[in-house]
Amino acid sequence: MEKNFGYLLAAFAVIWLGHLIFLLRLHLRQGSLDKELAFLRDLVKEKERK
Amino acid sequence: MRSFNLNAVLWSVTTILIMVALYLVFAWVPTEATMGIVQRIFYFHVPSAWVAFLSFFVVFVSSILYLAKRNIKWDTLAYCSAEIGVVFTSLALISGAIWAKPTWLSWFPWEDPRLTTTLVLWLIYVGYLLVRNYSTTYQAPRFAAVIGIAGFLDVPIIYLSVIWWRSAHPIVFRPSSDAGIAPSMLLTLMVSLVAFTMLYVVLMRLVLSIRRAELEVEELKTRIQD
Amino acid sequence: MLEKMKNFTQDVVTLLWKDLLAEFRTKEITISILVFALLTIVIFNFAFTPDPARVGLIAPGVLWVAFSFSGVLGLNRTFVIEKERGGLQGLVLCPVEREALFLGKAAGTFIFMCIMEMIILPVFSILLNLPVFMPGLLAIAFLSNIGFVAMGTLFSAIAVNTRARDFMLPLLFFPAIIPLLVFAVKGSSMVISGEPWSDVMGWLWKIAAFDVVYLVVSTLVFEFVLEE
Repeated sequence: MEKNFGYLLAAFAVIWLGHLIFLLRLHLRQGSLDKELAFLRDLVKEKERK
Repeated sequence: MRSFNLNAVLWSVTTILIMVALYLVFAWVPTEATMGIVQRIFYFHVPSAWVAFLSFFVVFVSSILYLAKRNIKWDTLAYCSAEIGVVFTSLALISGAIWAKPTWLSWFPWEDPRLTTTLVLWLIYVGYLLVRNYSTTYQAPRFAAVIGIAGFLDVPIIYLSVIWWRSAHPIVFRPSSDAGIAPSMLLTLMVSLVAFTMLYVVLMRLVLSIRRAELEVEELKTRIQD
Repeated sequence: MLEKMKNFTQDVVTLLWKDLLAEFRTKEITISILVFALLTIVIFNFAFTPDPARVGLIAPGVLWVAFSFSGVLGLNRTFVIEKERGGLQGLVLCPVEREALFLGKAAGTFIFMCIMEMIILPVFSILLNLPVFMPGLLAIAFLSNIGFVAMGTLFSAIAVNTRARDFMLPLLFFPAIIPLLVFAVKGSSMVISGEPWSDVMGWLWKIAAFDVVYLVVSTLVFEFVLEE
């Protein structure tokens, strides 16, 4: 019975890791998007000043 | 006037629910008699599948609303739900397979209509995302909406067809506790279900804000080019 | 109301006739799906080398894989031809209802598939030495074709507008058509093993239900695909 503990652990690990990786990728996307947005917003402001 | 940080509240509630669920699943709920401790995967697998289907349902409804009203916010909702849905469907499939192997000696029991339907659901979702990526920005929302609608309507048909497919061969095992579920197990399942649903809500808000940022980037780029 | 229906049917027939005439000249769709189905069957024979005892078991599966793959090829070509010749814009500008456009295209592919199946079934029975050229199988095939082209024409119209058009249609279509395949293969294996027709009818009803659902859904939703 206890030999199946590996399976339980594996399933649990997969679910946690899956969520973690997903969140990490979202975080990275958010980071690069924030930078891009800040840059573009400045560009638009400059353009509108002219 | 103190601003009410909804995100913080939602994330906190979700975290608490997850911790409660973890305690229930690993420390509190009794081990199932026939399947042993592997059965505890059930408390993660079923809620994952539930969220997968919930997200696809959201895709379905948003797709209809988008085609009817043509407001991009519905398409944004559909896209984000589909992205999250693929993740949860994948997790449901993997956890399902890991549960199936020690329990029924097969990594993928095709005669189980739920697992097979989840696999086809995964394929349809992946198709949805690929159609979006491979179409022009102008056409993508429309095409994706059509897939979201036609695909979702197919899911119950697929489920039934799998049942009918294998009805000639008697199903040797019933992949669920048929004798009724013990109240403690039901409680654990319910808590886990609510925790996963909150997780869906929280992730949706996150992905929605990212998607809106992406749309704003696109809009700013076009404005600069004018 | 009756006037509108008459005009609608006339539009569908005109569109269908246009495609049939074009196909009659070149025969490119019918020949390519015929050859492709044949190739699939030949490959399967090498892949599985069935002995006479087992050939009856795999025959329905092989048959329907051949029909599905060549059917997808046919579906692809109906719209790719339009796209290449620039006919897609022409069709969109045409003052016909989108539904008529859809039914015309679907009917064309339906006819091509029926022709292909009528030829492939006797060839199949010869190659596999199995008497499969039965009216029952033809009935299943023709009935399944309806759902096949209903769903397929919709997805094909989407796929042809994407970057990876050759691969997009199979990707979208095959998961969604699984129920139809299941019903068709089940019904076919019953026909081949000589089960009573009343049992086979059960599967025919299921195929018919699938046909109706997807004929309705696809016709309704098609207009959203063809906007410009």
